[in-house]
Amino acid sequence: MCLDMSLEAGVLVDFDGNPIYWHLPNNRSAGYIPDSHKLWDEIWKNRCNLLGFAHSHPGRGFQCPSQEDITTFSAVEAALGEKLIWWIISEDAVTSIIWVGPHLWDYNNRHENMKCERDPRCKLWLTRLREESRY
Amino acid sequence: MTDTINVNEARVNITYGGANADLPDPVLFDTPDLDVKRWVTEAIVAGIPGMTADPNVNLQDFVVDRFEANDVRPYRLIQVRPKTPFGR
Repeated sequence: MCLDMSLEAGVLVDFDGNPIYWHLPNNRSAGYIPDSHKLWDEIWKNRCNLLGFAHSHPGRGFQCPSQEDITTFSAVEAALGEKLIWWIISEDAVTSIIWVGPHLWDYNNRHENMKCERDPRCKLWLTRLREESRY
Repeated sequence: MTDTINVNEARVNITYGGANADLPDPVLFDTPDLDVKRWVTEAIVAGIPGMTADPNVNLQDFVVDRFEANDVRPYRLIQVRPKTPFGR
């Protein structure tokens, strides 16, 4: 793997596991996906059929959300009035993150690797998300 | 709701709690972000038409977007929405 060549990427996922919006802004980098009005528009437009959002972190193994990630999860859910599943993928692992409460930023990481690789709700986007991340 | 919006003013739109609503009155377009968020917070606590009041609203991680008037929307718009960056 070459960290310098990878790029974080994201995808919105509907209740059936279908990718409904690939978030691949030109200004993304190996370690950051900047704020995007367009992404929020897509989240809001698809809010009635939205299971979650997956994004990539460089490297291997299970990934923990950053503080930037968690505060974004929390803000988006506050605006939607709904909770989502937030996946973070690496080269070889998938972590799913959900709010467990009671406090605003109380999110729990679940190491879902094998489960997600077999889950039809993941397999429709997992391979392409890794490709878009240049893993 | 105020119907007339002057050229130096903007309608303020908020998405929160699964609802999308406008503040009843326009604000100056160049109002600083912190003031916009403070007024919107006070409005959500008190209740906005079309949005359930929330005494615990926290807009710390929301951002303020500003849009010029266009052919479809003949007035300026300030939109308060959640931030969306991700990163390590």
